[in-house]
Amino acid sequence: MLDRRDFIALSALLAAPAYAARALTEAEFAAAEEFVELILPGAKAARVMRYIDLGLAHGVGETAAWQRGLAAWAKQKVPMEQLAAKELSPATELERFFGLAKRAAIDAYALSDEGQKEWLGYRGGVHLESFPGCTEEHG
Amino acid sequence: MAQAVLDVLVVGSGPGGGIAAYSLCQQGLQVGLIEAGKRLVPGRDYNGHGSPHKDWEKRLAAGFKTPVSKVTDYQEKDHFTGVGDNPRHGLLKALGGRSLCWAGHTLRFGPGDFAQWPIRYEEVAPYYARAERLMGVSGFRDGLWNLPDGEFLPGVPLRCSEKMLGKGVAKLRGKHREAAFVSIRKAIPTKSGAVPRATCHFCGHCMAGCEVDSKYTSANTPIPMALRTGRLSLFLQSTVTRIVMTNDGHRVQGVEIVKADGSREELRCRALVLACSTVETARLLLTQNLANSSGQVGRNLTSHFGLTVIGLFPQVRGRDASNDDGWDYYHSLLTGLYWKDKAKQFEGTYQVQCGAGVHPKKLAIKWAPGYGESLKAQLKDWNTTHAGMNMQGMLLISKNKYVDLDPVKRDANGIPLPRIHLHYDDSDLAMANDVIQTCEETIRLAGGTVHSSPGKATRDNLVIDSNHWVGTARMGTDRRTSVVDTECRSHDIPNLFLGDASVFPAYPEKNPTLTNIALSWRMAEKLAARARRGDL
Ligand SMILES: Cc1cc2nc3c(=O)[nH]c(=O)nc-3n(C[C@H](O)[C@H](O)[C@H](O)COP(=O)(O)OP(=O)(O)OC[C@H]3O[C@@H](n4cnc5c(N)ncnc54)[C@H](O)[C@@H]3O)c2cc1C
Ligand code: SF4
Repeated sequence: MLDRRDFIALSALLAAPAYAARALTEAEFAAAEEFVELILPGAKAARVMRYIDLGLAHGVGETAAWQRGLAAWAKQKVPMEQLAAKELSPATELERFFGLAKRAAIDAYALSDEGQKEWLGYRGGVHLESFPGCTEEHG
Repeated sequence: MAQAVLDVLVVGSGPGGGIAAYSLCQQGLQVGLIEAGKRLVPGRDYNGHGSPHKDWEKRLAAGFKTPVSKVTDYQEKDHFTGVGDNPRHGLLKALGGRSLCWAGHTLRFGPGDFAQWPIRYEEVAPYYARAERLMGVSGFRDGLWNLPDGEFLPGVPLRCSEKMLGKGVAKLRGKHREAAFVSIRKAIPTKSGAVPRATCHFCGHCMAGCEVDSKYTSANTPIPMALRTGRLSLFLQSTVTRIVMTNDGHRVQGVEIVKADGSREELRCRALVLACSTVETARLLLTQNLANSSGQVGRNLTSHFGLTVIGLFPQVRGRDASNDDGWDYYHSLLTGLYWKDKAKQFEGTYQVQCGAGVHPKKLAIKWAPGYGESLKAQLKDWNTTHAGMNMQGMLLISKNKYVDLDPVKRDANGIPLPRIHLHYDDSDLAMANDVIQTCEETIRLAGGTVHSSPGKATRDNLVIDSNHWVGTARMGTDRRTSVVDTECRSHDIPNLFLGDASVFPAYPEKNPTLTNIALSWRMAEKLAARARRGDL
């Protein structure tokens, strides 16, 4: 039987390691997670923002652009349909941010184990004796 | 302290220099191989297999800006000046040079390609065969006259959308176009025991660097073989800054190197082989205006250039997309175009490298409209059903493309940076427009739709191949119009030889490295024969 102390220790071990945002503030990070999850459902579980924030902290991407975008999002929660409709001709800070966050999130999600397995159905990165190529016949 | 005089000094340890060093040692000469970079250890210094999310933090802390641990991260930056239509220039300073990150595409030039050379295909063919055996080249025998078959290990089959492209090309032929669609050939062993390297396990990271050293590199094959002869001295992290000439200025006497600690040293030799790569070799010669009585050093510069067209094939929708890794993205080649057919608006020929499938570390299609589940489904569907077609065209040799020295900018050793001038000619644009039409037609003939295409080629949307530069010190029989003779020996300086692709006098659409290796091997044999005759 586990006693209470063991249980707490075990829970702490099993919990995902806490991540302290480095480029964004904690509040910005939480808002960014929410925003990116609306663009790419599943991104939060795949810790996509952790990856993006780490990059920002090391000069990959522009932190200020994220902060401006998140500030605009905090002011007005424009529906995603509306932002997506303006993606190719963005006029506002938030419309520009939609495109920026979307590109970064797609990259990060595709690089995550979750994105590869659950989204793309990829089972590669393994040792093969030979490469089978396409084994199906298509029209 | 005065250094012993070595028989030959070879500068640069890439494919050209590596094979030269091995061949010279094998023939009994005492050789020094000088390399500006250090040794990179596969699996330690680069590791394409790692999970980007898990390794990212460690890598960022170490100063890398890309999540996947790639050998290309070590490429030089700010090492040249570009003038004109966005020239680019790849340089990896490491033992093995850019063979560490090459894709391994290994294609012979054909008899038609050598028509513009002062040597024939038959002269180079035995060296091709030897190089293929040493490198462990895998491919299918396709029986094409101008893409000759070699000594191949088993080839690698195509992915689903690439097979669809093959059907399109068959229909193109039905419309009397000269064309073939074949599997790519690579210097990567697919069968164990054929070469003393690991057999490929199809992880798809070749250009990030092969961490199990299956892919041929200069560092994993010829250089260790040269070391085993006991006749090779390796000078790592040593940059040649000056060629030292005899007092009369007629012959090379040695080179000056700058070592990692900044100290300078002079090394002596009886003969010198430069294999610094096309641009860097021209730069070194131009710095002292050596071997240049023809005024041709830096001229006749060419490379490949291209653009990308992507097709979607609804026929393959729903297929099992679980593992498309293979041996990197490009598995197939649209070739044979305009080898004989002269009805065209441009000079030269092109080939199209094709790839397909889901590659999460470098998604081919990274954008779709919308958001949410529909965005995810669209991106997955497009990547699963797509085939990418990447043009590799021969850039017209003209006065608009050349290398000279930057009059202002210098490197840390005080040597002027090379300046690359690239201005596309009208013929280049006409070729690119032909490629666009051919690719789009192939996709439609195969029952697919065009997902993306430049539509029309412009000087802004063409992309130069930064790693395929050749031709700044061309080979020829006339010393007034060429830099080296048919043995790759300088017309002006009898003990100076070139071991890289700077000597190519003309360039077909095919990838350069196999021919670079074959020519350098041939050069080394001719050099050693001269040494034996006392005729250096
Ligand atoms: C990502 C990528 C993919 C590629 N794919 C293919 C492919 O599929 N097929 C193909 O045929 N080719 C391919 N290439 C091109 C191929 O790598 C080059 O053609 C080949 O490496 C050129 O060989 P080289 O010996 O002339 O030069 P390099 O490989 O560039 O080697 C030159 C060496 O010389 C050293 N050096 C230069 N100057 C000095 C100096 N002054 N003193 C001391 N050392 C010096 C450099 O540090 C370097 O190590 C690819 C290249 C890249 C980067
Ligand atoms: S696909 Fe083969 S050659 Fe390429 S990196 Fe993987 S194991 Fe090496």
